[in-house]
Amino acid sequence: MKTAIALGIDDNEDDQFLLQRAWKKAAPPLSLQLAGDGEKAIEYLAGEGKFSDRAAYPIPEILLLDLKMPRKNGFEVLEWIKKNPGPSVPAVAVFTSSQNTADIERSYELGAKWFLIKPVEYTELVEFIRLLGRWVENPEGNDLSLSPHHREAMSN
Amino acid sequence: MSGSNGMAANPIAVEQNPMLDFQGESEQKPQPSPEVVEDIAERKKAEEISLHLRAVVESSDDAIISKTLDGIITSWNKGAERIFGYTASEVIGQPIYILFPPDRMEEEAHILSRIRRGERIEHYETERVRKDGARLDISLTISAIRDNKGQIIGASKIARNITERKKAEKALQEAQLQLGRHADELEKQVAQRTAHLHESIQSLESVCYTIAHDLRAPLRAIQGFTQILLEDYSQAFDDEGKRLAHRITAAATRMDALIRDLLEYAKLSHVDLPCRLLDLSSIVQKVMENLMPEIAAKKARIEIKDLPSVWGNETILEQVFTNLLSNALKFVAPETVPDIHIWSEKRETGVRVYIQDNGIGVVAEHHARIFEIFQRLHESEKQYAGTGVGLAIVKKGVERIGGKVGLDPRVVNGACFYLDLHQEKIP
Repeated sequence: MKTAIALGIDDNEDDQFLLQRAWKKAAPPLSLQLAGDGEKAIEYLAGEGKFSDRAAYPIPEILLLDLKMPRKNGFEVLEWIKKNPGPSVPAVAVFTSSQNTADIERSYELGAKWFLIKPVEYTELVEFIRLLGRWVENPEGNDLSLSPHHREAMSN
Repeated sequence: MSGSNGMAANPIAVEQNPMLDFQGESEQKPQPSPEVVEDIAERKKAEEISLHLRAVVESSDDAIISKTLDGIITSWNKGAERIFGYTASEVIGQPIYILFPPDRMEEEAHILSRIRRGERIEHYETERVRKDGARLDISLTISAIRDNKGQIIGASKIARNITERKKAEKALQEAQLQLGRHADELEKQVAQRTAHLHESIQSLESVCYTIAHDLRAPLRAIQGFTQILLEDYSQAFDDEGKRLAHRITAAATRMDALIRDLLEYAKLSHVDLPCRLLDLSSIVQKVMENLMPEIAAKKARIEIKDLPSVWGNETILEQVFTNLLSNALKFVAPETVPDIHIWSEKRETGVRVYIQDNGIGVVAEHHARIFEIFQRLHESEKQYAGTGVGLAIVKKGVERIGGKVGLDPRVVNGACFYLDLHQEKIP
């Protein structure tokens, strides 16, 4: 059975490093790929250039998508996914520092499945990746909305 | 009109004078006939009326002038003398044009043609010139003078000096204009300032966004890297080194809480928060459920008595009660079990909700300060952690829903906060 892929999309190198490190520690049944901005993420999803090698760069199960990024931001990635529904569409978890109500609304409008605030505590980040691992094995009982960092859509 | 015609216009002057018609001598005491007696009485009465009218004309403040249809002045009263500066002897027989300013000469032809048609001109506002050359604003009323056959033979005109009134009107108009200009100016200023304000709010929002996003990223790095050092490189640290590393993560966590609180506080200032009637007891229930870990850890007792419906916003009220209750749980002496009472009291307008605890309380001299942002009264941070924003959020939140927050000065054991809230839509 092939390993599931999570694609982390973040321009912050510290956050990338911490994610990788926490990933190693949590050791989920899910391997991590990184994209440095929205543009790279779209190239990956579209299978352009080196990403056409799907053995090396398989379609991810889930995206961990930051919003504020250079070149293409998180919203543009969400829009691209909406316009390009492939055979297997990854679930999108917005993974950001913003708790801005407008950002939360817009993310859900554009089709994000979850909105998560990046934990400040490293141990909580590890804990979140463990939840991600449980989710990929059994999505039913392990929805990411169970995370304390999850934010609901505000509108009723 | 000639002089005799002028006389003829007077019905009294043209009647036969029977007094001169004596006949016979003295055998008969001449008895005036009843008609004659009547005539004399009538004539006397007419003379009286005439004198009376003359007095009225003479004493009038208005200029009363008569003229022929050719525009020659035939009579001129004292009022005319006062207004125009000419004496009667100077102007009688002169053309009325001497009173006209050069740019209004054509008015007379127009006036005369209307008089010839038998029309009356009332309160016609125009300008005339005094003897000394000063221009006057006057209001004219002109009517035809007819002879006993009804023929129009001249015009009488009453001129009222309205220069003062005109001046006042002009001043009023000027004042109104100026007022209008000021109002326009003011409106412009208000619009400008509102625009500035909107700009400031927008820039504030973007600052908040930046705080949220950019400031928290390095915090995560500080936290994360220190924790990695502690977990994966702990053998490289002695006990003091580990303690210091822990203090780094504690400081970073505290700063994150501070940023979160500040964002909450800022949100209360500029985000639209619609109000409606809310059941306060279910809000407090929800807050208590969220605080259950702390409540359980401290084995706190919380007693809630009849909470009413209040006018407010759910997010605000939850925030307010969360902050007040966590303070009540937090600020207690180490050995004390928190004992918290929440109840309400009907007020003249709205309701007062009390939240009383048995904690360390607030010294009277600090009562005014505790609602200010960044005021932390408890210096020992280890014992009583806080950001100094919690009560400022409470105050701002309560004010956003038209209420008031205070500290009951009568309570000395512990703190007793009260909230004055509305129970219906605020007008």
